[in-house]
Amino acid sequence: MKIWQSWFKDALSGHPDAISRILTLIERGEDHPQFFQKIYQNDFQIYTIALTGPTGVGKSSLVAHLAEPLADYQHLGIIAMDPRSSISGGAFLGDRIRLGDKAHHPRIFFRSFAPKGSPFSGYLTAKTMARAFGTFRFGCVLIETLGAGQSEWAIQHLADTTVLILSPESGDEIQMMKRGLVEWADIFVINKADRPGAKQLEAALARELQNRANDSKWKPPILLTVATAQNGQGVEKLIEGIEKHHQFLKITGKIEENRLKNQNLECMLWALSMTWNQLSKTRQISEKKLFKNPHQEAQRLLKEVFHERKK
Amino acid sequence: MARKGLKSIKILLAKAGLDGHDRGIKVIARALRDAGMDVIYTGIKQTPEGIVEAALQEGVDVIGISILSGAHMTIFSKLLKLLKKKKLNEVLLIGGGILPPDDIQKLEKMGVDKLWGPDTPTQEIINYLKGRLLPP
Repeated sequence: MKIWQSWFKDALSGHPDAISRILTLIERGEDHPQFFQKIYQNDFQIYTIALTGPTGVGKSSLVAHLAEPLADYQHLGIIAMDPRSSISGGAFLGDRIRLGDKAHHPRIFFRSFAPKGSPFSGYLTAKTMARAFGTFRFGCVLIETLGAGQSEWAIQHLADTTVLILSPESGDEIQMMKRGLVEWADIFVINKADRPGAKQLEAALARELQNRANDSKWKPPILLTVATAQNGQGVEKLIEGIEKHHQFLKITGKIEENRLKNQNLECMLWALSMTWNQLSKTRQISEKKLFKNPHQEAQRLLKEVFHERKK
Repeated sequence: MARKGLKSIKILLAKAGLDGHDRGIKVIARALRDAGMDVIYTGIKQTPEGIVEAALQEGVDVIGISILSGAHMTIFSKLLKLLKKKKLNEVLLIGGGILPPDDIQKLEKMGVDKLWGPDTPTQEIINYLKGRLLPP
């Protein structure tokens, strides 16, 4: 019997040290099939919120202000990601510090991690941790992503509600016209709204959202906040926005529809991640050989990997 | 009992009690990060309860405390007690700061894994942790 089997039992009855041990296994890439069966055993499809946006706009500070109200009537899991150095392999996890005393709330469980391994591991680790929280009967999960910008399309499939945080420095009208995060966030927040430029950014965003495809009845709100260590000005509006979006998803049945899409991507990313790990075992990227045709070489490698797996 | 044969090390760094001097601990944080570890910094003025709770939730292998205030005997005893209470027996407790050699001896006897005084080269701490937790 694997040692984690007893941890699952304890975690299901709410022991925080057992919950923590399971999260650590997820973080460190445990891949035993039975382990995943346990994770998904009674996955209550927990309501998840993702907070995303460029680095330094105040995601962690906003998380700190959202935490208490969200944990008011339910257990809240918070998952915070920070980048890992590709040079040293180390990471500085600086999200928890913003939480201050709220970290000791009896219904808040906060876990930070830095993705390692395949480029998809951030998504997969966060997603799997969220599912574990669901299995352990938490009521809600808040995911704080890495600083994100123009190419993180997978984030839209990470959670039920995606909140994009920007700051007045995030850019002008031209930036907002570019596609990416701006296209699919459910709620927009301009944090540090006491700084010059907030109103202009609000106007530029509003123009973009007017043109957003009308296939959904959801009108994404644009909210102005000022989140510091002491105060969370405007945060009550954000809570309200999140609750409204949750209601909207439930009433329209979108929540199920979206989860189906999200799960499909989750499967794809698992497959890609497994392929990546397999490839990394057979071949080092830094190999000192120049290929005339990297595309052809990739095809050869893929054949090799899948052939080996069949054996 | 430390966790042995880990692939990587996750460590929580904290300043405990009424002590706001965090230059040193940030130097350590950078050094450990650059040595390939996952470093969580909780900030200044943390209570022992808060530190142990954070260590539990974050699933760290090591807790590192910096103390320059003179309260090390109280703080470390409390931390040891709380670690036991929370069943975090395999989490290493280490620390550094203005610590008289006699106190270091006492605390290490009580169960603090390792303590260092001022002017310790960061490499010494890195080597110690790697030797203690990673496979040879």
